[in-house]
Amino acid sequence: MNCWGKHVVRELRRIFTDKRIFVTMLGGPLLYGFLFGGVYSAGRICHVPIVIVDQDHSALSRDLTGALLASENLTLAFYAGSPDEFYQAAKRGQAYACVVIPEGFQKDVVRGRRGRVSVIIDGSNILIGNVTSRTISGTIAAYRTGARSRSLMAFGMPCAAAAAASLPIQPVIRPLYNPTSHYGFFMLIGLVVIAIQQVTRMGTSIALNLEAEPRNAQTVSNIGGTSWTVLSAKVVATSIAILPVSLVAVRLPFDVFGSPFRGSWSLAIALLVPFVVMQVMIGYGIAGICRSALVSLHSIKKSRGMRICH
Amino acid sequence: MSLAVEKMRLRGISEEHARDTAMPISMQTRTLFNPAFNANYANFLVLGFIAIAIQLSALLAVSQAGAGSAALQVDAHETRLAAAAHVSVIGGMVWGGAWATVRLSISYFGLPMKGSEGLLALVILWFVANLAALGFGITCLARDAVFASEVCAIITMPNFLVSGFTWPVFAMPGAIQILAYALPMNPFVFALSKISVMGAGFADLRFELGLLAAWSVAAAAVAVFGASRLTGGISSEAAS
Repeated sequence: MNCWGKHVVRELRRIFTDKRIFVTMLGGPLLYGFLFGGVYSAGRICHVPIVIVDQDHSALSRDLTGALLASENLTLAFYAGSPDEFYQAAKRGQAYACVVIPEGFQKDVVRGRRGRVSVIIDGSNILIGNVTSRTISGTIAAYRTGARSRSLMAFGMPCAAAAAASLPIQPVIRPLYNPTSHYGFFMLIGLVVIAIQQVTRMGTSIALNLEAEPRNAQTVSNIGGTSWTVLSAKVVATSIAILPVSLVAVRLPFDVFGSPFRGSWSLAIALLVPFVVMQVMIGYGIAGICRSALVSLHSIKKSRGMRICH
Repeated sequence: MSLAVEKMRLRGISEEHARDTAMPISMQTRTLFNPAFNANYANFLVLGFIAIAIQLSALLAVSQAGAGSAALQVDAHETRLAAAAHVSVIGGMVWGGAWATVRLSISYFGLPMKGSEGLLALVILWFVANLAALGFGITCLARDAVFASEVCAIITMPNFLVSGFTWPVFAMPGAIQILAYALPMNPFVFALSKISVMGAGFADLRFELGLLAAWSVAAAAVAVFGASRLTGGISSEAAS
């Protein structure tokens, strides 16, 4: 075996026998893949606790409350006497929206006047606020259509005509690519790729800097070769070791967490290989420039912080 | 709605009645704490990013300083005092920077600051002190700054996503909910956001302050245990 081959074999042996490199480089992508997959496994936000302020205490207000709470997206935090109680609950994270049904609501609707419902939403978390707002307005819109139909029928309009007049235009929405708006399908693969990038760079910088230890430096010197021989052997060996793990990690969102995969795996692998090799080279590059495992680790962590912000 | 009104008018219903019939229930929405809501993404996210930066800085500073934890050899019998001194110096330095970062970001990005400035400074100090103690303990136990940095990186990496700042904790599976509350960033990031955006006071932050207190106990225990192990190891090495 020539000198380059010996360096490749040595590096592979080191990756699989050094616990720190092994756990970081080969365990990291899988650990984070499962963790992030778990976080988004529900796919959407449901059971958002809301406060109901029913000041009407009528059959209609109870019916509307029932319709709101029948949605899987909402759950009752508590019934309150006034919206003030909601402000405190929101600050404590106990509730994210409040529906106020004022006194005289049923009377107004029955008499053909407009019944008013107030909705107060905690906008501090946009994701929760959007789901809550959408669900409440959707439920009230459906309720409004029903009430409109009943009013028209009271005017003597036949049932079918009243239904058509209550909802004269019906939008048909057809979402492509992610029909259930599953958040995991949208986020997970990106997060897994970040994890692969991070652990690859971290593992390689640790691996290179451990070579600075006298015993390791002596072994490298005994095998021989130029610095390019050693570096290229390290890049090849590390890529060989990390590619199968990266492939498994990239497949996790699709095979384990149910994200749809409609393309070609050959093309995905063709993109993954240069990506991983590039990360390995960047990791070695940072470690070489910094000449210290500690400084290079910190550089990688700082670059990650900046990337998340972008 | 106008189409429905028009249809009803054609059927001989008066316009006023047709309008009330077309919109029998009206909904008025009021958004609290972030009135611009979807138009203002900054109010929602920027404080979370700042929390990540503070956490990262605190752990980096501690792992750097941990490289010199051999300073404990000087006073091997004063383990607790030495640990406290280490944590205080590092925590104090990082706290100043962290507080300035939060204040500058609030001013520069025009984020709301509805709560108490004193409470904000206290929460930042508490969080930084917890991390300094935790990082110090880890460095002492690892006896190696690089290894300690690796452990700190492992702790830091999932924090933003798992802490519940963006994706709510109640939407996560049970086991990950426990992990979310067990992460040091969870109480800090929520306290920071609640003080700034909601104007929350002590009473509103009972849960977050309780978690910070629990973290203080855990971090102090790790720091003291780590320092004891380090000085014990050094003493036995010296004896042999």
